Amino acid sequence: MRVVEHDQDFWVVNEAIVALGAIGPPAQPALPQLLNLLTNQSKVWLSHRAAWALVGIDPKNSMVASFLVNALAVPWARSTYENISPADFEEPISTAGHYERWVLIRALGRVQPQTPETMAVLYRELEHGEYGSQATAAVVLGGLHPVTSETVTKLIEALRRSGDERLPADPVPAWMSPPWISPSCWTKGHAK
Amino acid sequence: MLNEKMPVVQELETIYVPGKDGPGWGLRLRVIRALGRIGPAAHQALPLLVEESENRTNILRFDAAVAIWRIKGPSPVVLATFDNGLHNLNIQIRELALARLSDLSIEFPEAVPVLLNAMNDPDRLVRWWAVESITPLGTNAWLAMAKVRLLENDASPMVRFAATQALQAIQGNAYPQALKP
Repeated sequence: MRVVEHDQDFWVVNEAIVALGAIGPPAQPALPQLLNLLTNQSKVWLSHRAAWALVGIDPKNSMVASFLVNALAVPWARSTYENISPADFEEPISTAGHYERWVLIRALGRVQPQTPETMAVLYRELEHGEYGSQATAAVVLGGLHPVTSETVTKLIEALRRSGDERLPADPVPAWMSPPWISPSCWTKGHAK
Repeated sequence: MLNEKMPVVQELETIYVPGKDGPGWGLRLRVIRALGRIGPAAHQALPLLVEESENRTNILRFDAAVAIWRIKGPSPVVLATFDNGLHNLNIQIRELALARLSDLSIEFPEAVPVLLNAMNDPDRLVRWWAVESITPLGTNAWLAMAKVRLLENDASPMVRFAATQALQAIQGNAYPQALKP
């Protein structure tokens, strides 16, 4: 908690936030600092990490749920803060990547209970997000309990939709059979 | 020796995967897995998943078979898909089928008898991997004991060594890796 509040090193703070989230409910004393980060518009990356940590510590916190819904309401996470000039950002890294959006989607999947608003966001990401967001939303929807028939229907539609374009590969693409999984790749080389 | 005994289906297949720049890349795989993770509640998806698993040019057919297993158990379609995969001419397809079976058997020990087919594979690497997949299951893999005993006399030293380790685990003499804290 002291690290999150006082440390000047960005990455140390980043790791401390993630660690607090991994601790879960016993890290409740850190809630004020994390909620403070959530509203800090000059630290977008850390606010996303804080949201991730908060859903691990207190998944029923409505403030986190509304933060995630708002952050995902625009095409890019950083656009939420577009009223701030880039010079005002205190962080050393870009926070506009796809990966950030995937973190937010996964965090939204951990919110309890799922409300019609949060489900609508997840369905929208599954249907209209860029393909990484669609895939992340599919993973999140598959892990929700209880699952509604609407969720299953949306996933079935996504499966039908995803089969539009296919290219031949010879014979198994590297991403399906990486060397750390496939013993034959250790001795016979990768499928290119 | 067990090598070269199992007939390999002489079947040439063209494998198609979603184009990596196309809209389906990655999504298809994750949706199939998500449906499997939902389990019996996703029964509506069965016709589509059966279609996926029966398509011999679909590289995700083993994932679809795993999803079907999770939704309604070991149906003939699933068994046929894995049987075809484990007898495929292409070693990477056999490995892919084995990888999915290996994941499945940790959750469902009933999948072990299907996995045993890979222990007759002509390639030592596949046989070795099949035995290695059994080891983390510990005593849950008791159905594999007779087959693993035979592999203690395999031509390949690496398979023999893995078989010895697996037997220890099946007999409860080693702590199953899957249950390690």
